[in-house]
Amino acid sequence: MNAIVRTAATVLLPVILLFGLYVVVHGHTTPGGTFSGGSVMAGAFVVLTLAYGIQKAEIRRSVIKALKSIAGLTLIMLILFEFSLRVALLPTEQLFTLWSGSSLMFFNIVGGVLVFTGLLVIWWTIARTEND
Amino acid sequence: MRKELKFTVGLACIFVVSCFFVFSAFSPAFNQWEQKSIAKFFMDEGWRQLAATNTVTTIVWEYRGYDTLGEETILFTAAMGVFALGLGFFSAEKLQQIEREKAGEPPSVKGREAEE
Amino acid sequence: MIYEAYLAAFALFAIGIFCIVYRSNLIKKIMGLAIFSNGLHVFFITIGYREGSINPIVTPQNIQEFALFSVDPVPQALVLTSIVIDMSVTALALMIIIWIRERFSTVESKDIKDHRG
Repeated sequence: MNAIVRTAATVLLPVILLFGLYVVVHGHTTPGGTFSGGSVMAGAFVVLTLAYGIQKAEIRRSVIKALKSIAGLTLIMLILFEFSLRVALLPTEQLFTLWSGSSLMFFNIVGGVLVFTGLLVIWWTIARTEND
Repeated sequence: MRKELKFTVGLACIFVVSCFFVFSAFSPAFNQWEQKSIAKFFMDEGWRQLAATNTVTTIVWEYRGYDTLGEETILFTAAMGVFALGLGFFSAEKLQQIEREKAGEPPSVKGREAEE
Repeated sequence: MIYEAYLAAFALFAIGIFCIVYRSNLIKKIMGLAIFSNGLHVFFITIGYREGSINPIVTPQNIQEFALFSVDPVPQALVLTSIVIDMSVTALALMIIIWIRERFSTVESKDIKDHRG
């Protein structure tokens, strides 16, 4: 890909990541949540891979797999812990602010990381089978 | 004649199934959901108990949380399955190239990235 | 009762089943599966519609009579789960199609289905 596309992808990567993170973290007040925000965050790396080619635009596979496993384990532990002990991790007094919703924000962040890394694993595995 | 008959009969069957499927929306089971649905409880108690204003998120993560746990497990398993198929893809190709070189044929033109 | 949404669901449903049955390219069959399941999701969300309504987000303006005016949030939660499952099935099916392409060097099902072993 030519220099315009490469420069645009490099400049846009943190912007798209930040927007995806915003959609994930504000999942309990605005429409969004894990899957919408996780897809947007993975889309940033898809744009990077399309602009640079698969060999140059890849984080090490062990890092992505480790992150996915950690997110999966944290999600399972968080859900079982929350549903058995009924502990509210965040205050439940005021509505309409960010620090509300008992532990919904943690669910959304962990689930967003899981969806993001899972989609990246799928995308990079399918993109590496290309032969030119 | 036979091929066109099969095509038309198939299209008619698809049309009939779709009509049955969509006209079920006009039945009273789907039109009067306010009296018989559990949504009133979720909409009243969701933001009172959890202080979260997005009702869909409270349903997905609090009142139907085990379904979401199963869904994330499916996503995890699918990513693992795709990764395992990708690993086997590259080793199968390499094995075929090794056998071909042993048999004396020249190696194939298109090479792939080897396992790291 | 939104008639346009039900018509869209009907069209997507019929086109999806048609693509699965009547196309021999395997990738087109997977596309038909995605179209068909999306038609089902549209139908499922449109069931929970209420006349003159708002979306199920509590704001300071509609906190008093929220339960009387909002749409049904339960099918939206179920469809969220269904979209993720459909995406996982599509990803795994595409990886299997890559293997089939490697083994048989074709992706047409009418060339593959008579193959023995």
